[in-house]
Amino acid sequence: MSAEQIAPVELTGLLGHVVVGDNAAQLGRIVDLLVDAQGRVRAVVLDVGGFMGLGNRKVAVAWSALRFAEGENGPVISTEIAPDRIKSWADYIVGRPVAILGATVAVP
Amino acid sequence: MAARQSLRGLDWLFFFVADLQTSFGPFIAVYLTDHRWTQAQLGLALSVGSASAMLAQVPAGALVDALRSKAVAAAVALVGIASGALFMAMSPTLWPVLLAQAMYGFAACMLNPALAALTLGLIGAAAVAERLGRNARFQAIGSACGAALMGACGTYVSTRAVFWLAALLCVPALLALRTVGGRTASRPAVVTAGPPTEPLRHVLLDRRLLAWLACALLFHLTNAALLPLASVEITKRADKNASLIIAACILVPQLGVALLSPLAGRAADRWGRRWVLLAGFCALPARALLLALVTDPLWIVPVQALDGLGGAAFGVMTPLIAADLSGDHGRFNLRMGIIGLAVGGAATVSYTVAGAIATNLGAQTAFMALALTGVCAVLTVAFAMPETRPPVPAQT
Repeated sequence: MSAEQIAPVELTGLLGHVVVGDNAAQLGRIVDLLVDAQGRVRAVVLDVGGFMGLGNRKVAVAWSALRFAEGENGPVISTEIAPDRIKSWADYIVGRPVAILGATVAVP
Repeated sequence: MAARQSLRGLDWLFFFVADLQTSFGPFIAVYLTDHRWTQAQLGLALSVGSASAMLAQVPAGALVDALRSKAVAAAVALVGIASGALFMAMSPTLWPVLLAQAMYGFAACMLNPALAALTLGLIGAAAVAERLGRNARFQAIGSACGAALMGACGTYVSTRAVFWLAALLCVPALLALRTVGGRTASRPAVVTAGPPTEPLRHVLLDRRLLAWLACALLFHLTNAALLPLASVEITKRADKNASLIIAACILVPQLGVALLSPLAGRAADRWGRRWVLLAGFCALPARALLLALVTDPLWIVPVQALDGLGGAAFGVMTPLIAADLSGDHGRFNLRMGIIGLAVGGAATVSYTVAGAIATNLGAQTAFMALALTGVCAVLTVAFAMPETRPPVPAQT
């Protein structure tokens, strides 16, 4: 059985991957993925803001609010949600109800 | 009188040491996130770092006391920190990072008391307070430059370059240490050669040390969470330039410490340690209260400037009080280690508890609670802390 061969620039790991805004400015990095019991990825946890590790916040952003495009060094992940809204969104805390930013369509 | 060159060397030593130490600390979370660490691994690495930084305090202090040459102790610690930084930079994978964190924790616990002990051996008893003020000044300038340099390096080069830079900065630090050398004053404040003979019971049962521990504990219980909580509020509220405002909140207090530390040293000699402590500690609840009231993120910067007052008082008085209590043959480094342990423990509790209050009841409530512990800190200084300034020897 032959395995599928995929060029490295066509795939990327999500953990630690940068998410950019409209103007290609870095918004934050993906630090976790949230999936439901059906295996659907519902949201990513973004680590946003801060300087030298101070003032960072973790917020949940809907998977459907992310845009993916080809880039020179692999896929580019972006979102149209305004940086202000992301940075001031409710904290993502493990074990608490999760408010997902940009979840427009309710998953049936 | 110690040679001028040695004293200049001491300035640079404190500058470079503070400079390179800014790389370890909260920045490690950014670095490891950048290298695809999971949250669980990240939490483990940070816990190992803070645990070793706390558990090593007392043993490292005792070790420095036992070593004959404080210069050698400082050199060993610097090499340990450089190796830790190299491990971090070379391989951001689990085991090297855990090892680096543990090494850094122990080395930093050795370095700070060793540098203070080196100073005390170099300076005559009469000039100690002023010199400790000068040390704190160069340390603050080093921290400010370090935060700016490492921040720029992390943003514009790479997060990994920050640790290469930290390792590289150990070289000028070691060179500065060489110019300080093992010189001693003719009548040093603390005789640093040979292990101290003071019995352990004498250190542990000293009521003045216990009072100072209570003050230090309450100070850091209040202080440690203020900047992290304020930074999160800045991220939430500032529409843009949040990172720059946070950077200003780190730099501005350091400039305050740089300006005020020599004054704190001189004032401690003229009016006594208690008055300097009272002035510095009063800034603490005031800052917490103002942080609860201020809404515009830009106004957080001038409020943070108050940290310069508290930082200068605490930074200069800690080695000074330890030196007062140790006399000239006492266990100075052990006392520094015990204070370091109290500070580390209080800081950890501060983050955890204030962080929990902020998530459950809001940041404003957390700041108010911290203002309350700050008031307790001031009251402890006012009513429990005795004056430790040794009686002025008769002029001959």
